[in-house]
Amino acid sequence: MTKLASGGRKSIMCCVGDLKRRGRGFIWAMLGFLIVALSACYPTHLNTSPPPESANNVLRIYWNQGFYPEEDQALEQVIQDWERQSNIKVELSWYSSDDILNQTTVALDSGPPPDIVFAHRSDYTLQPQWAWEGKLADLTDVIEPIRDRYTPGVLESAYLYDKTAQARHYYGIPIELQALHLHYWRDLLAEAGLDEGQIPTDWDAFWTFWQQVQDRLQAQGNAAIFAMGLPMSVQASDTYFQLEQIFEAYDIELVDLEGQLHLSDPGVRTGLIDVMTWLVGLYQDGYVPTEAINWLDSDNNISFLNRQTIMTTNPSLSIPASQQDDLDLYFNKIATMMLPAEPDGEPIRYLVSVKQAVVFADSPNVAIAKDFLAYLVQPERLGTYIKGSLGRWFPPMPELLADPFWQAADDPHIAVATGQFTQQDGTRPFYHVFNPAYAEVQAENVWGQTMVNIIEGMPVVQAVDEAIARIETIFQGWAL
Amino acid sequence: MKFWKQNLMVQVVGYFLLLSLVTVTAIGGAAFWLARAALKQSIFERLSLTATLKEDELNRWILDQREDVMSLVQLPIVQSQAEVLFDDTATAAQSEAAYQALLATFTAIAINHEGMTDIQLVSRGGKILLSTTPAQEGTYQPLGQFTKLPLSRELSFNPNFYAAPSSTEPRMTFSVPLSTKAGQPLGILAIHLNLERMDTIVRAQSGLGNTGETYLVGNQGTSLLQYGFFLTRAEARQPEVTGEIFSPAIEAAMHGYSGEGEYRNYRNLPVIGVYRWLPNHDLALIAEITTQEAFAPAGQLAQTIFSVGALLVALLAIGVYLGAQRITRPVLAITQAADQVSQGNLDAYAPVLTENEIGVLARVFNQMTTQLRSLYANLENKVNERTAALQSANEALQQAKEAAEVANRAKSQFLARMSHELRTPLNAILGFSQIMVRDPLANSTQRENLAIINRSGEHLLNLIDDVLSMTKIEAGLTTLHENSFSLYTLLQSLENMLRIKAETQGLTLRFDIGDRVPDHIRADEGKLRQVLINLLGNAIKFTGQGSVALWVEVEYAPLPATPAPLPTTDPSLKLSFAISDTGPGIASKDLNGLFKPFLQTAVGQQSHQGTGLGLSISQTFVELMGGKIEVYSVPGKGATFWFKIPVELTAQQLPLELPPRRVIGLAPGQPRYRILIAEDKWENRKLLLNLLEPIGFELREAHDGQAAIDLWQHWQPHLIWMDMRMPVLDGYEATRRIKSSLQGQVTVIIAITASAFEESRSITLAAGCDDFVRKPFKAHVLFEKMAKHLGVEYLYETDLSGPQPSDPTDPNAAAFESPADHTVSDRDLRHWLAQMPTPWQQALQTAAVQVDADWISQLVTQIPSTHASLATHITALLQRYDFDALIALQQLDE
Repeated sequence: MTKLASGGRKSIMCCVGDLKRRGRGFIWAMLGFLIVALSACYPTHLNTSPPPESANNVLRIYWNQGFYPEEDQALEQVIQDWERQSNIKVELSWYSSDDILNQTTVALDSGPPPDIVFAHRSDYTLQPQWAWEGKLADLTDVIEPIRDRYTPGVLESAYLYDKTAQARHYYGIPIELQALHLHYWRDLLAEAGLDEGQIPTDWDAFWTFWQQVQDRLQAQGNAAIFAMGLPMSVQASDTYFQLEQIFEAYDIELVDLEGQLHLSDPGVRTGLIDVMTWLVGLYQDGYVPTEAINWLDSDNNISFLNRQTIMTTNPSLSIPASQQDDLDLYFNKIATMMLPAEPDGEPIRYLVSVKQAVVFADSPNVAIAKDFLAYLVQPERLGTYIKGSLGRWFPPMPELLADPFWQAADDPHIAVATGQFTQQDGTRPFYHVFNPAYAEVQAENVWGQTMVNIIEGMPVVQAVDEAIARIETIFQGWAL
Repeated sequence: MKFWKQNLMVQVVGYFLLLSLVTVTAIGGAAFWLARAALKQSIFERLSLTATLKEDELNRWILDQREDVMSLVQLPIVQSQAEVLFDDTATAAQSEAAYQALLATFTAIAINHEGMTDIQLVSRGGKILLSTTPAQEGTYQPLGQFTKLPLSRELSFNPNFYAAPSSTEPRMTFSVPLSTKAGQPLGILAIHLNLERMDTIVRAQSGLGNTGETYLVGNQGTSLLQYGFFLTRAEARQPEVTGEIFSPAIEAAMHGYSGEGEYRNYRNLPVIGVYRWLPNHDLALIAEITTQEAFAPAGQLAQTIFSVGALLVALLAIGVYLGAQRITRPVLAITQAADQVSQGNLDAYAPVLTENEIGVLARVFNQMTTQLRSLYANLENKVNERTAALQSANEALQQAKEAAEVANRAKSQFLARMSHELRTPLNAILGFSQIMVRDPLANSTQRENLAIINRSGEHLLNLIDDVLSMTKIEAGLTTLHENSFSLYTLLQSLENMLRIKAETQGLTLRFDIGDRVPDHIRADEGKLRQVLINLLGNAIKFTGQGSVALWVEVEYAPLPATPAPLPTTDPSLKLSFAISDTGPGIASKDLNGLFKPFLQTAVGQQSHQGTGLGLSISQTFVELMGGKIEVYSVPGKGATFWFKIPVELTAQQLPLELPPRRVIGLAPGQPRYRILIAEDKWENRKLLLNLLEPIGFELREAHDGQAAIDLWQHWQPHLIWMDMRMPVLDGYEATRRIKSSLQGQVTVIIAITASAFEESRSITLAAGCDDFVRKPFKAHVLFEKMAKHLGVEYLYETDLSGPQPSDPTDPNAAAFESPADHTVSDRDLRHWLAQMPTPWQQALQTAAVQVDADWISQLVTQIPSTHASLATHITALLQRYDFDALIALQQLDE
């Protein structure tokens, strides 16, 4: 009995064991099947297509388009000559001032970058950053042979810090100079019953004077006229160019020669608040065109030429230069003058921007690019190119000033400009030369944004504090 | 849930349903994701194709515009008339003619070219000299923003978008320099392009469904942070997009990347999109379609799969249900069989329905039940056998128990009867001997003989009491009867009582009482006295020479360095007693059985004295009082017994108990009390009659309970002395019957019992008796009880003449001479007696007459220490039960 029962149990245990083994095998098989199935279903990832390859045997140049055919033709002539001489093909792309930095940024992001870039607005926006990030080629060997030919101080703007190399090198070839100029309509002044002899040289009286002119003209029925063409938009680089010059006039030192920020100095903050209050006050009182907050860099020119503004500032001589064909305008109606003395009575120091050509380190043709630039900066070629702008830009080499073009005493505009650039101890580089972080402040147009914020209703103190906070944040990002 | 856990079918079908649904959901999900991925891929391709087509179209359109502009410049009329127009030397009429000719030409061309909105001739300074929109003439244009077309068609150019002056409208202007045939620059031919047309080209016929959209995003201004604008008028875009135009695709494209992806577009809608950077146009081209529309087919597919799957699952579930039923039916059959087995039906049979594992299980189950059945049958037999054996054992035990109980009962009854039977004659012996002593006619020899009878009776009574005490102890009936008393008095009386005995044996008896031992305490006085008498008596009895000592001390542990005053606040403390002698000691082999009843030591056996119960009773009493007797002995040197008992302090002074006085008659003015004596023994009835009749009570006798009831009914006695143990009808029943009638309530019934047991008091009271007297009784107790219950007042002996003068020649007088103090003369004794208070003298007289040794002992303790010889002498007489000598001593005093 017992024996039989245990026999039965044994057979059952066998069955259970079988089942267990079979069950485990089945589960493993199913799991394997599941894994295969899942891996088969796994979706393929799709992504961005690679950028096109560049041609290595061609020198690619992005060049800022000039306002006048002569300027561009002068460069094209230099390139043709060099192509003939070097037997190297050049691919030249003209871009407007607005587009060239975007295009270069795009080319740097998605490649390939051009070999040489010359952009009017790069020196105070992106060039210090490119140098900092090691994206630019060292051009010292191009500079060395002609170092002494440059006006003292000009090369400082090209001597930039490379964080990757932990050293300063010449990362740009100075081509031409730029400073803030001031123009007014002599005939509109006369219409208002005033003459230029009455324009005050005292800072406050100077600006008040133009308001009086507007008031008088509007009183005469010229309703759509504004005293001052001061750019106030975020899109225009003229906005901060002009603001930095005004800060200088007020002796507001944001960055010292060592590159240290001084925003926390009580005097600096108060000064910024005062300047912002004053400028926005001019806009809000109707002495600046309503559209000024939307202007691109060319728009203050057009506004002035279309006689909507009586006086305008402009960081080049492009306004009179463009009207050289119209002798009446050039010689009689449009006048150029120095900026008034600083509020403290001292003569104003002009901020000078140095326009430079750069070569990208990733370029396959760095040596060729250097050859071309060395060829270009030979004084006779450079002089021809700069003159092609009809006085819009100023030469960086004293010897070029010997040209009768710059010495023409009868030229009412160039003479003033020459005076501005050559006055004793009268110029100063922009802050980005002392600390490259400030280039980002300019690229972001922090001060232009501040002005727009105030115009749109933000309290001045808050807007200035936000700007200060933003600038401090930017500087932290550039800490060594 | 319970249903789920308990039902196999539900579990099988449930698991299947669960797994099926999971599978169907997984398949549906997988199908959805696969379809979605496939759709995404195909949509990317479609969008890419669209973007490529649009890009080509756009490029072609721009090239077309360039062709048109170049053609325009090269028109002979334009060349010739422009020269005139720009010539400062030309007359006004010539200029006007040239102007009109050019305007007509330009207007005609502008009308026929959708792509051109305005054709202008601009001076090198930017001033418009001629425009197809004449209002523009004379104003200045931003030449720097113009897109200069290269003269050579092989050269590429980069169209520039800019905001038109005085507005934020995007604009693109193609310009071509005009020069004389000699190459002298004249001015510029500028054409504003129609960007709406461009936008239309890009937007039109994208073929991308309802939500598909292709659009261009351009760039204007110098800021690198704000670049986005749409190449169209705001009103053409509904709803209008405000704020910054942003999407990941725009961001990527504006940084020069081309690609595709899934993201949220500028309206924050989830879309699938393809983006292209158009490097030559500074434009981003974007083609998008919402994911909702794009993936709708995938959702449809998944839904269909899920619906069909669910349907199949339902059908399969039915199949599984049927299949599971086939599988579970044999299992259920086995389960039912197992259930029946578990309920005791070992004949349950599991049907073998299949040949698979379940079939095997059923077979094995049946084998198991068979085996179980046989085992069970065996087990039942064994259980029956064992049960029978157990029952017989139980019965035997029960019988033994009953027999033991009967024996025990018989023993108790025997002891109780024995007690009664022994005490009853003893009562008569002692009582009559006392009466006879009082007979003035009895001579001294008779009195001496009577005294011997009396002493022997008392001794016998003590022996009976010892045996009874032991019996009570064995029956577990001994209880504590605590009362407040004077410890000093107790110890004094003991000392007095034992000194003479010790001195007669030539021993020194020393009582050493500690300073702090309290006088007034509460404890069981009787038991303490008995224990001390036993231990001291033993010590004296067995000590040949030397001394016997009692130490009493207050127990403190640990003892303080300086003796503290006795705490009066703490009512409980421990008293330590130690009895030490210089006798033969106790052999160590005897120590173990020392406290066992009926065992005597070797020395004790040699002395042929005592019952052997004394130590056993003492130990029991001490244990009852909360202590334990311990012994230390060196054989040949002596022994020490000691024990500690807790006592309570009583602050109150005990009232001095007056010694009973001898009743000689009823006080005047008393009614004649009818007293009934119900007692079956003749001698006892006679004793009571002899006691009560001389006093003046009217007495009747009844020899059993029934006679007592009959007498009570027609004689109506004031009081009945009721013996409880009588033939015919016992005292309990008689009392109950009398007390049950209203008339009986006024009759006082006092029980007289010879029961050895204290508890009989409560039994008699429960039967209805008013009070209780134990045999052998003392005369004064009877008188007190009657005084208490009937208010009887008596005449006492002092009211009459004093005791008889004793014969000086009485040989008993010699007995007065203390063996310890032969110098004490009868005169001194009498003198000292005379100095004692009169009530004390009377009490001593009465006690002596009543042969009440206890009372006399108590009286002795009241003798001041100055008269110690008197106390010693009386105690010595008492030791010898020589009450006559005591009476004689007083009579001599008279």
